[in-house]
Amino acid sequence: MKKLLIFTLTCMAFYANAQVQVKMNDLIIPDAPGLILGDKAPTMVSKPSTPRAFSASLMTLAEGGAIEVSPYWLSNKPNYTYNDFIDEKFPFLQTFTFSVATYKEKNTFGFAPGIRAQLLKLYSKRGHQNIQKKAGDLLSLLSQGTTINQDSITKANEALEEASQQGLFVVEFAAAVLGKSTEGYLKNLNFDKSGTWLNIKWQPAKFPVGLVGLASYSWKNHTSSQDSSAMDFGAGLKFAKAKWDLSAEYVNRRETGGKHYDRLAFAVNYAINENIVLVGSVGKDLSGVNNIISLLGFKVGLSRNVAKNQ
Amino acid sequence: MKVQKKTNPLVEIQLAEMGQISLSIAIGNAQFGGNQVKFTDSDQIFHKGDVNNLALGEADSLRGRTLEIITNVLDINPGTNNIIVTDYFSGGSPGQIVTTDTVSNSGDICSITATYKFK
Repeated sequence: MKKLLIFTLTCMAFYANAQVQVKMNDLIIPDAPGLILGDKAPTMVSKPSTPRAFSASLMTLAEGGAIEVSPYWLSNKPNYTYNDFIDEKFPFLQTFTFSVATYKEKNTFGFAPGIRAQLLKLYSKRGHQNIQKKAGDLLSLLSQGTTINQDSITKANEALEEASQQGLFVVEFAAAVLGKSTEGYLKNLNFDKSGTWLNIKWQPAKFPVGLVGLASYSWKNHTSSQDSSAMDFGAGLKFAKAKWDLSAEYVNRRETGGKHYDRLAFAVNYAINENIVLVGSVGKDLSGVNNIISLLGFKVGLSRNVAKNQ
Repeated sequence: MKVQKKTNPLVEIQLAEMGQISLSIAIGNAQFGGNQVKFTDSDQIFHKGDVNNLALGEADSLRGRTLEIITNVLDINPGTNNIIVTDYFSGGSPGQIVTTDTVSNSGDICSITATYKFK
């Protein structure tokens, strides 16, 4: 058992080392973009859906955290249906979110408001057809009166969610500022850093390769000497079967000043049984020396208990 | 996933003197749902699925009958947990009946039972 623990910790150390690299997920704008400026990642973003819940959530930010609210949805839209949203090509209002993220670090308090919205959303004909098919399956399950088969509905909902990410071209915009204070929560905040991001994603329908690009620009508000900008683009592949899945990704970053960075990585998971998964990954940071990223290990499930709704 | 049930009080619908009566149901807030429509004096399900200009029958044949609609709404909109369902009767008064509710989490279901007596 002790050997297994040491082996697992060793694998985690290698994995943590690998996390330093820019990954495909880093090219997706997170829910609370302001935290990027503080090099922080929120563990959970609260998403209040009523003005009262929003006010209550604001009170909790003094201890650090993040909230994100969609102003458009704070009031009911009785005639705006799911199909209307799927057909919406310019969903700026529907996807516009305002977020506030806070963190505490020694004597410094960080406060980072941000905005995010999709500017353009297009489905391919095949993607649209796939959504309609999955939506039909879910509609049928929800039209059985008092007979509500929760397991089937959950699976059909997951299938619809997956279908809604396929055959999809999205352009998303985000901006944020970061204020810091050494005097306490919201006292004399010095907003000295700002950033903007433009994200473009294309995931063809029923095809395992997706493309993503991210242009970012951040600057210090009181000096022009520390501006930074980067243009990232990447391609990801994911192929899954019942017992194994294979993923690969390529990320390319070009920063101001001519710095250039590439990363290529492959990962495979194989389920030996219900509780043990063999994990392997290998990659290469193409810009430097000692740059092979590798990981081989097991993921072990320790509990057979099944959580149940009370 | 949590299923939250809501039963609306019976609403009387005053029908026009004559003509076809039809029903439409709008599930708003970009949430996803399905419907089951039946008359309480029959064991048969009258309609399942989307309801858009569903012909219920002539006014004269509907008077005195009670319609039960079960609408199950799944919260799939990450922007809100609010649910809003509107039942529209063409040829009846009131012409629209709005039901609102809020579920706790995304992925929860709000099951709304609405009954209408035609007069």
